[in-house]
Amino acid sequence: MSDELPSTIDELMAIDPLELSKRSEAAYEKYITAVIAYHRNQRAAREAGTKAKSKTTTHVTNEALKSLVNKLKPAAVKSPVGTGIRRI
Amino acid sequence: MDAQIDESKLTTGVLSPFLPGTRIQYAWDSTSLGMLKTCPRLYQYVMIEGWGSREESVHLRFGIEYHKTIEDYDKAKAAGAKHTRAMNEAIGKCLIRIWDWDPDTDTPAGKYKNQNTLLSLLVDYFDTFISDAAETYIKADGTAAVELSFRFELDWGPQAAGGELEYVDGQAVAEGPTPAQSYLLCGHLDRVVTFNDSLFVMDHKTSKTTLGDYFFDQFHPNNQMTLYALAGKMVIHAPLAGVIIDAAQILLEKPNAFKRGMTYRTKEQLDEWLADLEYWLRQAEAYATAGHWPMNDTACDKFGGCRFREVCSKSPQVRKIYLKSNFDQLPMEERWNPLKER
Repeated sequence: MSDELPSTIDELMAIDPLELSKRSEAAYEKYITAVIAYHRNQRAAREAGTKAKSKTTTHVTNEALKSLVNKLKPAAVKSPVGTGIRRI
Repeated sequence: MDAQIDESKLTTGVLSPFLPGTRIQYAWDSTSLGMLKTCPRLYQYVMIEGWGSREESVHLRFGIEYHKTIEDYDKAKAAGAKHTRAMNEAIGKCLIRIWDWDPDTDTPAGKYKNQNTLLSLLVDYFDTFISDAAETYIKADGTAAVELSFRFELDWGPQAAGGELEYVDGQAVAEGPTPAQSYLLCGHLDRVVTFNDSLFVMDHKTSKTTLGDYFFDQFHPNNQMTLYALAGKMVIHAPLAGVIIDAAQILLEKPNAFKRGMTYRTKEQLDEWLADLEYWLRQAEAYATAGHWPMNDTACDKFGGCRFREVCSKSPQVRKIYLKSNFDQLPMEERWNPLKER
């Protein structure tokens, strides 16, 4: 069984994660990482001012997904909570 | 921190929140009490008759999954997992739970609350609070103080259960023997945290609206937050500084936004809330005994408009028809129940 992930987020979300987790732990981990990477990528696009594409039209190439999975960078750390908290 | 969770105040099992054979509710949470305070007719439709809408179920499911995933993350972190491991575990469990969840994205509710927006919000939340100054409080048994279902009883109950009160100098005092059934106050505390060496209850909120003063002002005064402040003091045997509202704004085109606000209650404010509660619960019992829950027609436009506004706008003799066409009458086990554990 190949651990190759599909090429679009729609196809990715069509995978049954429970079944995948039973079949291959490695593939399941890769799948989770790809989903997280997709959403980080979407956020980066939003932060850059790019209009986020809708779920049905978004196309994530296999290469892009692989790249994201393999080159995941630590999440950007925003200001610590302590500075953003206030009394109502 | 010298504090411990009182396990006897935590919930187990599910019962009916009503006295047997009556519509008198004895177990109350902030949701049902809030409905009663907002409009007795709203309370009747939801709590007494169990009407629910599909749109409402989208909001409910989104909220449940958002809370559950953060809970899984907090538990994994408290158990020693690093951020990435805890996040992958929590998101993985969430993906399994929501795989077949498919709300209609053409509806206003489904547009903002669906698989995609949920995952986006969660990933952004975890990344935003990667270094969280608020740390999960660890209970005496070594587990994380997250999703604590609580219940505690008042020293008086419905009059139908023998819970008579008499008033001495304006203060209500229980009269006679202990009632067969006292009133219970129930709910769920999302998370208990230490922040700046103080203990706080943390409550997660999701919203489509901007997280500014207008948003945070709604929590003071606020029925739910006052109950949580009260419950926190009962469940944690230590001074509780207040409640932190951990708010998330769902945005479709811009990055999701997160902001936290703190709200405090003095002992006097808690006492006042409890004193007022006596009047509200007596009133609820009176409505149930009379079998009539009056409409508060000044509340119909609150919070973006009541979901039953269209029904209430119709003449009384045809309202049932509109209720049946726009809502589903849920079976007892699916209705809102303050005694149900999450």
